[in-house]
Amino acid sequence: MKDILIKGTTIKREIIIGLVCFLFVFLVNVYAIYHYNSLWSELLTQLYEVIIIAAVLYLLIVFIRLIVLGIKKLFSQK
Amino acid sequence: MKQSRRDFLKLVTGIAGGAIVLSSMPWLNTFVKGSRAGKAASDKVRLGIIGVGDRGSLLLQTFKQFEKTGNFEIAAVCDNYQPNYENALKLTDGKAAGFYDYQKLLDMKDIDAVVIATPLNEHAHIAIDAMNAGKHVFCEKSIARTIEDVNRMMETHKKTGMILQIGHQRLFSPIYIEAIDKIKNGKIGKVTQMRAYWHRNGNWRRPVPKDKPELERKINWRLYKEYSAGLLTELASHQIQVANWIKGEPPVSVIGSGNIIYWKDGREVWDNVALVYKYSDGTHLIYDSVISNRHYGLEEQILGDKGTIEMEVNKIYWEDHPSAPAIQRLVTDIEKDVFGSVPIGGASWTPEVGIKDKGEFITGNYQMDEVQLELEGFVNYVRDGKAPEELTIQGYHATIWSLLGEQAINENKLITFENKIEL
Repeated sequence: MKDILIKGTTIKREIIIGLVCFLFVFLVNVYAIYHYNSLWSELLTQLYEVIIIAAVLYLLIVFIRLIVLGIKKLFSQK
Repeated sequence: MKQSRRDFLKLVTGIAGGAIVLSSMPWLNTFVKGSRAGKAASDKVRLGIIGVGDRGSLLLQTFKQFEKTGNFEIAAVCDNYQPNYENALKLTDGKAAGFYDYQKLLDMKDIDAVVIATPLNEHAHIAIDAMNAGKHVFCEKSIARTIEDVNRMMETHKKTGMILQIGHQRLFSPIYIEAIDKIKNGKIGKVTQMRAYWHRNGNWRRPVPKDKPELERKINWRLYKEYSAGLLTELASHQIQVANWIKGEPPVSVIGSGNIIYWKDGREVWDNVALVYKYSDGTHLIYDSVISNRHYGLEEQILGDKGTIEMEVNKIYWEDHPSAPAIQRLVTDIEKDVFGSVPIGGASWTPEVGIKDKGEFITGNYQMDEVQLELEGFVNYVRDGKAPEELTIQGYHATIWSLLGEQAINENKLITFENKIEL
């Protein structure tokens, strides 16, 4: 079995994508609180939901990137 | 979570410490003052039980549950039906004196009080004789068969100064105490309607020995108008008492209907009744009782503009609920926009279904027996020589208005009432 080497730059890239997902969902929550005139304390109380949605978004992005990678490899082989 | 005796005392103390007990629950003071079970022989309360059928034997068995701590004694039992008489002696392990004639029981000088659990039509003369003989009285509900008899009992009670406590055990129930406290404190807002019902499925008959058909009216007295008003005096009076307790006053009018539509077996009392009681502020108590369907069981529903209380199931429900968090609402709205169907034709109106809410418990899952509590209260009052008059008045109004419900059905018109006795 081959050793898999994960470069520091890869890890850094994935962390940045994860943080961007979190920030995006956090800002969506801010918009939702404003739009539905809800309590601002939900920024804290609903943090766990923001994290879960951000994680789902991150996985969705990983999935899309894997498909794009797969398509690129297919064309490069041809 | 079991509610222990200690929890009950905390509940009562919490309420009793406030003004609420003075206005609506003065009978709870007997529990707040602490145990009145003095150990001296002179403190011992000696009781006689007159009528030891189904209800009387239940009361006797309940007394036995706190016999050791209550400093009282069941000194005598009385029943003129042989099987009940024998059962009563058995339940007292042969220690109580047995009588077929209640007058002989009343002749016992050392009996302090009597518990009356006979058929309804016999309450009046036995209770009056007992009070005139210097015995305090606990009388099972309803007070009496006729308004005239009710008034005679009340007048004797006033004249003799003897206790006349009526068997409305919900007055001692932790659920009802806490529910009424919430209602009086405005937790469910303004009470605008009350609904109560008692539904059973059965002929309400007790077995009559095949070789003694002449005992039919004696054993099944609840089915004959000479002895009882049936569903009204045997069931409805409990729930009318609760409604009166909540409103702090009796109704001002009643109208209703009743029929025998199912159990056509020679009975005289109705097997289904429907009544509307109106209170002075316009609130209604809508009442019905049937004995041909038990799907809904029994309940008292108190409807306020902020919430609803269902007493029998110990639940409170709120009209308004906090909205879901904003992010959940946004996700839901996006889902509806993306996945929602496009309405083309179809229903233009959807029914206003009720709020689907599991509600909250009013009080802990208590195991306190309210019948035991009312009997404990009675023993304490006898020892003190007096009982809160409110207990008698609650019984009075509940009985009067159950009998007036019968009159409303009989006369097919709205009935009002004016008290002719001083309360």
